[in-house]
Amino acid sequence: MPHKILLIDDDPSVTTLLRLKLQGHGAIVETSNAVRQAVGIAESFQPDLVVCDIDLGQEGDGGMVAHELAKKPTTASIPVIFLSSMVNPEDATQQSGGRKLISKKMPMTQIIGRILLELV
Amino acid sequence: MNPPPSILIADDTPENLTVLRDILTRAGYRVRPVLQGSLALKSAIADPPDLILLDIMMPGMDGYETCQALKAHEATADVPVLFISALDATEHKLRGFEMGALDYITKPFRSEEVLARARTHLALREAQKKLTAQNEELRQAAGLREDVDRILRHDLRGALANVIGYSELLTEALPANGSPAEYARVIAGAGYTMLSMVHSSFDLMKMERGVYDRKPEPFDIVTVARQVLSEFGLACGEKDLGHHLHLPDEIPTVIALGERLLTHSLFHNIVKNAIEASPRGGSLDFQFRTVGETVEVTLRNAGEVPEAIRDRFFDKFVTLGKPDGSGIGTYSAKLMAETQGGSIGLDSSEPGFTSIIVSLPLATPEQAAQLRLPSNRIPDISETSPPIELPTARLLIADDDPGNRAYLERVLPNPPLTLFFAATGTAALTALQEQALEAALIDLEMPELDGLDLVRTFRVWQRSWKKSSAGPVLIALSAHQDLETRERCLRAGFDRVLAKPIARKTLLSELKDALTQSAPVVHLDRDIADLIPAFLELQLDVIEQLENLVATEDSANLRSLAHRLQGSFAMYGLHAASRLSTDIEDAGKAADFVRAGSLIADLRTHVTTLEFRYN
Repeated sequence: MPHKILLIDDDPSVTTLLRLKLQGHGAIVETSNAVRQAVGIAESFQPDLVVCDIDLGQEGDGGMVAHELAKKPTTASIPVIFLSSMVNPEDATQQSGGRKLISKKMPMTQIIGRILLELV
Repeated sequence: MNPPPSILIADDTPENLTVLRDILTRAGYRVRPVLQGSLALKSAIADPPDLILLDIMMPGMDGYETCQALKAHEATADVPVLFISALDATEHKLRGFEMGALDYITKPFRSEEVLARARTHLALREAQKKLTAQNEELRQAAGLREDVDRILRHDLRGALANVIGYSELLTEALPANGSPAEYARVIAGAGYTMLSMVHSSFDLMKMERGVYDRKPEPFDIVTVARQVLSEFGLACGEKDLGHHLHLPDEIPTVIALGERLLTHSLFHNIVKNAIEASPRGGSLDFQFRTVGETVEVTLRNAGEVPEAIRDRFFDKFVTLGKPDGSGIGTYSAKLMAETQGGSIGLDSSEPGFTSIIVSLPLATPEQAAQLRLPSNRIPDISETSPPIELPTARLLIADDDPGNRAYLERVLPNPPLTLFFAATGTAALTALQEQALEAALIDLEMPELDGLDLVRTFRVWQRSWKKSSAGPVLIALSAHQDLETRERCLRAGFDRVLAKPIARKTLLSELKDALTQSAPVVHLDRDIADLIPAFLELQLDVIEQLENLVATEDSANLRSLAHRLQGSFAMYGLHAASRLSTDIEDAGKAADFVRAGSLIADLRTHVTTLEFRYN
């Protein structure tokens, strides 16, 4: 069974790029560029993992999305990891509210590697 | 002789402790009895025993808690724990197993049972320790071998840089038509051959581990075979061997889908073998035919492979009874065929002859139509081209190897260049900060401060003191030419990356590119090529929004939008644009709108003039 991943980022170019790379690894990928839409997609798509940008600009932030997902019984158990543009790629994976954080500044292979690792 | 195993016992009932201690001491074990869980923990961490017996019900820290704490501590995590419990307490037992206990000793104690369980778990523990130690030894041995290999390859490349560089200089210094220039050219050619061998040995290791990053392209497989045969012209002549290429009548050539250089090495290996195995006066026949979606290449030579090794012909380290054979040639041929999605086989059915059959994927007609010149060919040093004119510029050369510095000083024209030298990373950093430089060539491996750290430090300094990432063009000189290294360099803040050894011509044209600031170049993975136009369009929209935010002096949104740009550019591999976005974010933070405005203008120019190359 291929893994299902939902990508949430207010920048469509980011979701497009990650979708392409993850599909290359056999994942089924849905994307969303808006917070409100994202929760609905998660409910119907039932992904194995949600990858969500921390800073969603005017759309809000990743923490809100995670909170919304946690409130709904149908999405509460889906793991969420965050993407961020943090300046320091050395702090790549820090804990943020008990969740994993992936820096956008890491090499793409590592970003994809870390996402796939969450699915193991 | 080893001391007898030590056993730690924790039980709050002194009578139990006494009974257990007597049973175990009599059997020759060293016993440490304690009356509390917390004491057991302290004692175990201070001096880990070989086995721990824990009573479940203890006041204060009970058996479960103690067990959990023991399992969480590095020093005691591997020490087997047995619980002491009453016979019928199934619930307790289950919970104990969850906490990491291995077994139970039931009350009331029977000395045979206590001893049997202690012996079993001590023996298990001993076996496990041995295995761990063996694994560690193996791991270290393997690691050491890889380290030696890597160092060897690295140092070899450094030396080859000089062989190639200086023989090229010789070629130019000598009269073009004389024999000495020809000799120098042969030396340079040999240098390049060795270099490609170093590279391919590295690739083979990757293939073996299944991490080789393959980039299939359509290529003319017949031409490759022809090239390989011509390289062996001399060897064939010595053994009086004829060689022929056979193609089906209706086709002029065959376009395969794979890697030209890999296939070249593959053919090189099997032809070399075939020549060594052939009797004098025989012949080598290359036959090509297409079968479905594959091309089948058969290399037939006189001579038979001994029956004993036929089944293992392509195994590692199997030699054909040749005293100087390494047994790696056919093995690597197999790796190279399989890495390209093909296969290789041996056919000994024809008496007196041996045929090696290589199958590789065939390119589709569309792929064959877009056949391009291979990009990673070994440069032909006999090529001549007009001299490269450089602009006036101040250039820093940072390299700890005096030979490399001397070589660069010799090949870089001075004037128009003014050269500065640094033999260490720290000296280079000072030069970058104090001299008004246009460009710097920086070796990655230097004492004190290596190239990556140097550039990271310099970029931080630029941001905090110069408030700008504009400055000299930073060019990395790397002994490795893989994509990972390139990526690491660009992420650290280098503008360009050159792999050593660098042909003089490449060096000059790269420098010219860098100094004339002709379109900045970005190298990207081919698979994202289709995404780039839409990506740029979108980011130019964002840049326009940034310009509006500067006009309305909206510091908060300017910051946040620049922050987003920074991440998106980095993900697409546009590192210089990402750095500029960080500068804009900083300016936004400081509400410095004049500076932000000029940086945004820089970013717009940068993004609109970018030139993309795909790997």
